[in-house]
Amino acid sequence: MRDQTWWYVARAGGIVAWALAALAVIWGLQLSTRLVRRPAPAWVLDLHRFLGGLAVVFVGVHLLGLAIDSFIGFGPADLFVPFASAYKPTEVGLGVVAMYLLVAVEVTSLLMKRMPRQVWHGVHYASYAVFVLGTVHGLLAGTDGGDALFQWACLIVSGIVLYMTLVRILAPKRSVPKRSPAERAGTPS
Amino acid sequence: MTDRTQNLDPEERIKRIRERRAASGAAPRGRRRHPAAKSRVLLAGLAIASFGFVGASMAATQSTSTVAAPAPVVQTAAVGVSSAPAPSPKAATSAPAATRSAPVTSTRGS
Repeated sequence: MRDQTWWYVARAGGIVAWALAALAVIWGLQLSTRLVRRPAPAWVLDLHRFLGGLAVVFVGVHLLGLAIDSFIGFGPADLFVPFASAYKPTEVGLGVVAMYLLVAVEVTSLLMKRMPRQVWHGVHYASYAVFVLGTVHGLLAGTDGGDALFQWACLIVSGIVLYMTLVRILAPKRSVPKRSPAERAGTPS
Repeated sequence: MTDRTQNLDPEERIKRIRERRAASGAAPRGRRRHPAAKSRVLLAGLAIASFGFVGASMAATQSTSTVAAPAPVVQTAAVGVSSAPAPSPKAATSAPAATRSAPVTSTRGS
């Protein structure tokens, strides 16, 4: 295997993980805002959960690539202790914090039925922080942060998330007489 | 095959179907099928394909820039011989990379 392969694995894994996390946030906002009325809530919820899980997997790929690659020489402390990295400590630290928040959101979602809904809901709000921190991490710490395509993708996706969040906050709450089990299971209210 | 319960009201229909299943001895399924099972597969494939595409694009861009780079410059004062036109910002800001004793022949920061 070429010596740069793991470097590409780390970079591509990070970009795909960011895209999946962003999609998961958009899917979650779609569940709560119903901006697009067509897809069934159960279908959206199922994909929302799957996107979150897939994002965790690709964060793992990102970490694996960084751990194996010898260019920067990240050690366990650089990868898992926030702001401990010798290379761009703040920018890398934001990514580490985003990773822990993503894991927290994912774990609490898996254990949702065994914990108070308010706790799950509170932790689920960290998804916004995951998106923001992940985006800043990608733009500032990543080698591809200077890439125009990536910058445009960040801008467009951030705009969509911001718009949907505003709709969710500002739109009057609809009176829903009865919610389906799928909605009750995971829709942020 | 025609479903004989189609003309019944929903509650009665569900009841009949349950009775029919119970009579046939079919055990209720332990796990429900995911509502977006096909979309999940599609999405996973898309994510893996994107991962491969992004990685391959990076490698292609890298090899193109390496080919297009001018003739190798021997840096007598530097740590080694570099084929890169200029040290990358990434390598320049990377403390571990800067202190490496091995020759730096990479242009990976681009």
